[in-house]
Amino acid sequence: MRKALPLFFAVFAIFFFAGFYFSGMYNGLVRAEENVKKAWSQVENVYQRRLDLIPNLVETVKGYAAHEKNTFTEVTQARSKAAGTLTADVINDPDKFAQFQAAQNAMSSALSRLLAVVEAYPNLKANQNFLTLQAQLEGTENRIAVERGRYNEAAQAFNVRLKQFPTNLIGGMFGFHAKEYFKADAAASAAPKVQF
Amino acid sequence: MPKNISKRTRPPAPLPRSNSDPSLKNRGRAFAFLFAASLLLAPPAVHALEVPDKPSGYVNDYAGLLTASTRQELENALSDFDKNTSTQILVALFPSLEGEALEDFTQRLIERWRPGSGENPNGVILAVFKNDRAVRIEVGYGLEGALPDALAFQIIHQEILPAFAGGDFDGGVARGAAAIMRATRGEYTAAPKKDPFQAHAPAAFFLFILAMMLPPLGYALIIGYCMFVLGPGPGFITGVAISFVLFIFHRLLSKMNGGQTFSGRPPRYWSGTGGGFGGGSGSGGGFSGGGFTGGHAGGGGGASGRW
Repeated sequence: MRKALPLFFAVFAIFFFAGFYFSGMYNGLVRAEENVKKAWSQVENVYQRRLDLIPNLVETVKGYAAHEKNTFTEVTQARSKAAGTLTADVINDPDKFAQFQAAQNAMSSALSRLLAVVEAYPNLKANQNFLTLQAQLEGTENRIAVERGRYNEAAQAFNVRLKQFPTNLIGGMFGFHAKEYFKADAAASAAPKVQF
Repeated sequence: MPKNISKRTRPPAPLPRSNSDPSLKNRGRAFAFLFAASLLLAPPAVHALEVPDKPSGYVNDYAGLLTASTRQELENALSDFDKNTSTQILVALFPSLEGEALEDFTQRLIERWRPGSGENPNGVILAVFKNDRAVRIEVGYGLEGALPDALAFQIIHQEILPAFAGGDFDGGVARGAAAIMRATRGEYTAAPKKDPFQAHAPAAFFLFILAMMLPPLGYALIIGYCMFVLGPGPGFITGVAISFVLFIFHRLLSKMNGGQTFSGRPPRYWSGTGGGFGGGSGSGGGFSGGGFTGGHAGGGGGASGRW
């Protein structure tokens, strides 16, 4: 009995410290995931901000170019579609994420076309309300770029942590998913450029 | 092996990632290799124009565009503004962007300089790039209410660009700064700077009493608290150091009281795993700085303009 006691303590100590170690790993994953979620909510904020600007923009342009109905319809539809894809579980699912990115890119394209239409109306371009909206739009596009970059960083930190050994053993067990990244859009539809 | 020496006098055990356990060593090697490999995923970005360190002055004319008197006046005005409102407006004039994107660079600039203070820094940077003929007002998180994008845009196009187009950099910068001050005045009042030690005084008192009455638990909590406040690495070392000092202090006190002797029976709270708890709390990175978030200075708010 006395001879077994040190062995017992050794095994106990190993399990004890292993427990702490693994709980530390798990907590690290939880923290990293919360960072990703926080960064993602920032991304949603700025995309929502852009969506909120659209109705006002459309109304202002309609005041000067009422007959450009196709463009307005396109923009409004793109907006509804984009609004529908803004959910929190998007980051875990590659398909949903791809849909999200596609919807936002479509929104960007529609916006570009709307602003292209505006080029033909100098009175509209000088309109104070329109100028304010343009400034806000420009600011929002910049914010979108910033928050996307930060989200990618947070997602990378989490993914690296998740996929490394031995953390990946825990990750699978507790249902942590790798997070999706924003990819640069190769097509021509970049952020709407505001030119003066 | 004498029973009473083993647990009592050993300082708290170090992190289990130590050199003694071979299986942990191999795991540590694999971990280190994977970690190093993972760094390849994100090579450090190489920039043509590097962000300078945070300057001590409010007006930083790296391009020599302003006259000395303008610089001095503006420096005084911005310094007073900071004292009165705690809002920091920094002005930076660069010769060229050197191929960098404007918003990209100013974003890095505000993150490095962090004008203002607090979790949402109340600061603004007015940046001018001579060769690129570009100007941008980069607004920190704390001032997004007072200086929204539309207003920053107006300031640039109404106050700054007309003057710049005519070559009047002194006037443009001065008017821009004045407009920014007008917009952000009243948003913040200067709060008296808090003494950092005061914040921890009540906790320190409690922990000290605890360390004297229940040493192992007290030391463990001290180490945990230090790790929480200072971060895992420095916190652990500081916590152990403080615990060690208190331990010496405790022994001296005991000796003076002539009470407890260390002859046969160890005091009740030294038994079993009492000594081991202080070290166990540090393993595997389980404890670390609490809810401290990314703490970015700005989110890309502001406006740009070219002349």
